[in-house]
Amino acid sequence: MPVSDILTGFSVALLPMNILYCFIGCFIGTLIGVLPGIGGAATLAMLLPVTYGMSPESSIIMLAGILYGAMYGGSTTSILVNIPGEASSVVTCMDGYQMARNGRAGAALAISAIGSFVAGTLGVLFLTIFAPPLSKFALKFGPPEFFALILFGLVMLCYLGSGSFSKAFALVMLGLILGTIGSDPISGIVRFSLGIREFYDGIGFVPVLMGLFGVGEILINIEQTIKRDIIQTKFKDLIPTRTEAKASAWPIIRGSIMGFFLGIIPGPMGIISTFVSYTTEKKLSINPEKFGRGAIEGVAGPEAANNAAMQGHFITLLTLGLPGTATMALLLGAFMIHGVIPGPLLIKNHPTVFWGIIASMYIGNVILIILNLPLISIWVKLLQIPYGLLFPLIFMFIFIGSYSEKNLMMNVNVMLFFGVVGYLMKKLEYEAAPLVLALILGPMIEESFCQSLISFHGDLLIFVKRPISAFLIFISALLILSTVFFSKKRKRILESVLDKD
Amino acid sequence: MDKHGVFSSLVLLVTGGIFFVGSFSYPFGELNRPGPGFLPRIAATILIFVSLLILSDSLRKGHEKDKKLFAKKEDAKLVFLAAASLLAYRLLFPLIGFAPTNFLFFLLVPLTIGGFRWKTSFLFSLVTTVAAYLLFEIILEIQMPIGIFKI
Repeated sequence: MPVSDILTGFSVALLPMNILYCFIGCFIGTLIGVLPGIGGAATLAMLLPVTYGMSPESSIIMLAGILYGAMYGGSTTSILVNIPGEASSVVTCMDGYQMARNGRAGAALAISAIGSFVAGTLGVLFLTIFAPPLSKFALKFGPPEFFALILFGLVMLCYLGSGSFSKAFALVMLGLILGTIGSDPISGIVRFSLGIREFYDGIGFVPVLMGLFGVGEILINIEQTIKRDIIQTKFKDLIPTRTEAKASAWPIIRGSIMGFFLGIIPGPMGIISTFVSYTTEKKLSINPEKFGRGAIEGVAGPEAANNAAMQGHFITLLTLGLPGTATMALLLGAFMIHGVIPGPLLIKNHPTVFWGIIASMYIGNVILIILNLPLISIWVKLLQIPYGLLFPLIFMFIFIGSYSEKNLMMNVNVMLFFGVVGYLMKKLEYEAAPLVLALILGPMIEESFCQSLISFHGDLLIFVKRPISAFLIFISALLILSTVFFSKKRKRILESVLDKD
Repeated sequence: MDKHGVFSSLVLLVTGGIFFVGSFSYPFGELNRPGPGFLPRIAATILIFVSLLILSDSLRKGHEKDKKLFAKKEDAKLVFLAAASLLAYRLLFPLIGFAPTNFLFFLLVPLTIGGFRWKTSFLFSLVTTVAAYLLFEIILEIQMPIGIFKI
């Protein structure tokens, strides 16, 4: 990791235009984090078309800012309203809201923002240190390794998902099938297009994502009339006591380390890392009975963990080209739209993109702490906007985002269809992430699988003859077998992790 | 019996079946040169198998799993109303153009679904329509369909 690389990154990130995009990303991220019912995936999908005219560096800097900005904003709603703004802020509700009820809302918000800042910065530091060697290691990967890696990522996503493994696995298969619509990567033959010209290049993941995460969420949120009792706080209250600051220091550091390394694993590790951090802090505490009644360690640790996990997600995307979550899959899509392929060659082929994004994260973390602490009263006011006014606006953005991708009404039709599918999936307890990831990764898995067989003369055993792919296939098989034989135990463990406390 | 599970597994089963049959329209190829029908047929086969597993599991489940799709009748009404408004937006957009569609949508949705008064809805509609026009048509220069009003 030569210093010149980092300096190159800062020379890109510090361009006035890129600072502006970083600010816009962080601002929108905080906004959607604060507002319950709008997720990072839907926002990214909505704003993808806006980035078409930008340079790859500027667009990814802005979109990445939205993702880690949402982590900051999510905690505000958890603490003041007891509703998680983001899924990974669920744990913050437990002690954050209790602190707010005890008159310590300001301290909870401050510690949460400071924890997020420290974790975000440490996470970027880990990313700076670990990404180049991991990229170098991944250069040894051939098609069999890439096939095994994508397979492992998809199996892991199903395994760690909150719902049933078989349902998630069925959706992975459905996503792979939908990914085959359009031209075959090897022969170029058009498949399953039903004679519709717009499907010759595939159904396109942008309208599918907008439908599943945007329209689907709108319909679900319309149903849930949530009563919001907002606890008011002022900027002058935002100073934690010396005891609170001291009690938060180690949970923040532990949360950052745990969050980052768990975030490397594909799957919903942002949420899982917060539960792991919370349980660890409770176990290490000399007063575990305080947890659930307003323990500051219960806010500091999980908030640090979810922010660091986001940086962990970035490492697998940037160095291996493997998105671990649906939002990361969208970011992968954004890279691809701009002709940049994340993976082992990213650092070599696009150093300004790679180091520019990393450097922008340092800047973004500073912007976020400024946005989140002094402007807290503005975010609180936004929480009072009724959903009846918010949802038509969200829909218009999704609609135009979907339409403007190719200026086609077919995109809008696909989006609306998947909107209904997304709504029904939520109702029938199916997660959308496996479908989306498989749809995006489908063409890659097909290409690497076919290339492996063509290169090694149809030898299927090649996947277990090469050590890295053999290891990944072995772990994937083990996970699948464990769900077959120990499905009840897995369910119990997942429930105990998620329902504990 | 878990009705939701049965319904969803049948949908997956039929989808898998359609793609399985459809995959025969493309050459399967050989192991040393997989054809365009290779992955769809394998994935569809696995999908059919997993759907059958979900189906059998749902059939064996007790009545306690048998939840209603909507908790309240009003919820269903709201969702259908919202879905209808989204569909109306889709139908009007190419017909009357971006700005008039927005004006109607932002006026009627808060009024009917949001429960706002005429005055609030009108003001909201006016401000957001103008802002959206400026953002998408003037600043971002997105080519929108020109409807019958030529706006």
